[in-house]
Amino acid sequence: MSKKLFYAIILVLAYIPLLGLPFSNRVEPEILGMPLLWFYCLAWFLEIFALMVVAYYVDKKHVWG
Amino acid sequence: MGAEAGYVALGIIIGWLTVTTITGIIATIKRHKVLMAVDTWFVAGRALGLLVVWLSLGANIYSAYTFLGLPGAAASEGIRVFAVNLYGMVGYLIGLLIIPFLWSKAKERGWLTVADAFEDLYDSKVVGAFAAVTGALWSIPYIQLQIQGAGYILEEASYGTVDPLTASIVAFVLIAVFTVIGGLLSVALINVLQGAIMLIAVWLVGVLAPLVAFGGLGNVFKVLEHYAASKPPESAFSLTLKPDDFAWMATLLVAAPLAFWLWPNRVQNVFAARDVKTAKRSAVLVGIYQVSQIPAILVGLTGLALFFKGVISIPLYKKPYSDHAFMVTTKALLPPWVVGLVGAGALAASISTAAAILHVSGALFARNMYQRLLKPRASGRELLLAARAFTAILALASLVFALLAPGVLVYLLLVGYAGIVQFFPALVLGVYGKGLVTKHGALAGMAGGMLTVAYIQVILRRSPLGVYEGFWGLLTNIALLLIVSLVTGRRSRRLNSSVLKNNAKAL
Repeated sequence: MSKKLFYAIILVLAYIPLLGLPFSNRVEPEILGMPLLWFYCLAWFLEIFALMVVAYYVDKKHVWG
Repeated sequence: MGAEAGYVALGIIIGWLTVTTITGIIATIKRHKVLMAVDTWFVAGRALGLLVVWLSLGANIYSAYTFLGLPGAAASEGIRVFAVNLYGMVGYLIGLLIIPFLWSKAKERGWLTVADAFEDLYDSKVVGAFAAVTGALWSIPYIQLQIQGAGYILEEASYGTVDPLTASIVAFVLIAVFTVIGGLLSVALINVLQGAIMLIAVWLVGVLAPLVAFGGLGNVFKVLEHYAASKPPESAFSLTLKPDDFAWMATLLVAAPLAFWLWPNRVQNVFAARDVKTAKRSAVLVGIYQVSQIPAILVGLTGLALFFKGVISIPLYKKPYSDHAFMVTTKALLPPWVVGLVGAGALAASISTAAAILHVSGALFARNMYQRLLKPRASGRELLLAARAFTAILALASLVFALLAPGVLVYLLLVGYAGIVQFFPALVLGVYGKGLVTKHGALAGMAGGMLTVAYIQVILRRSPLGVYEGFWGLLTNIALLLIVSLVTGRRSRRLNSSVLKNNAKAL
């Protein structure tokens, strides 16, 4: 995999939850005490955080072809 | 409670500022290695070293925006706060791409400032000077944010003994003093302490507030659901997104992260990094702090729920009270000495952030505007004077705005981003699209984009279709950049070829 493709995938994964917003724009059901939308946004936030950590380590260790 | 609580909290704040300043002065005079440089800690022990580096980075990243702006946005608008939160996280993620790009180009071409980059890419001192001056102008809302925020902290920590005007002016004076004494505050040991205090403060208050006040987060949201159903008509609070919010969130998430690394002070840090590995590592380490925005948001939500229950009497749902949410909630639930400790950390963070931006803006003006464009043979003394004068003007302008046209903290930040992001197309196309963009195209694009943002902000007051104003700016920017480049490009290519012919003859 080239570096460009790798980062393209990472960015797509970071932005894809945007598409789910209209479907999760509700208060019910509540998850972990949070309205659905709040849980969704929090999960999205943590996903981007995880992507950053993964991208950092892969980029550091991997020798790009 | 009242005056006495105010003395305790303010006493801790003043004490903390005094201790950090004296330590800074001693460390600078004695050139104390252990106190001064974070790197020396790294050699001592890896695990400890990393923790120390991480904590000291935290002192640089936190400002009034995290402590006051985010809780304020959560209390006044609800879920929309997550858009702000999310673009910051994306900003760190794309830092992994943008930092190596900026750093390697800077090393290759010898750039020291963002204005150097523009001057070199477009072979034009005017483009460089334009970047220096506009970069500083768009920093005004960011500095204003810190002055307002620092003022709110002092006002709240005084428990009513200091009025808002005095608090803002004291905040401004503190920022001015620390800008003049320069990097003294950035002493490793102090930064480590500072970072630790802020981290503890935001998590402690963020976790404790919902627990102590309502027995858990679930109950906070239950109260807020009632609030949303019976809120005052002026309250914009919503637990879900309204139709206009989708466009805003999407365009904000696309545009704002592009500006993240182009702020003059951040660019400087990236350019100055020893190597690209260190720069990337720092970015990821700082990105971890972004997670601390979650407890900050929880404090804002708890504050609003407490207002609804009548425990807090200050109307946290509306401007400008919403931005007091963090301090007000802390005061309602925790003793004055905790308020003092939290206030000290947040205040020092705001001061150091504002001082860093002012410092860089002054230097940029002196180097890329005054020296390059106005007076190439200016002496070192004269340049220093120019830098100081420009810094003073910027600081005063920010104070005037803070006093006469105070804004909502989060929106002040977003306006700054909307302006700064206008650098992005000309910078990237200047590197990758060699020959595609002319200097006139770059200038027209940047100026057009910035004017669009200013027009929406000042005249329209409301962005069309709910789209983030920075995004409208980018559209204008890219259109003008391409059109003007196309028109001027043909002419200059003809010119260039005739110059080449003449040169060939001369050889």
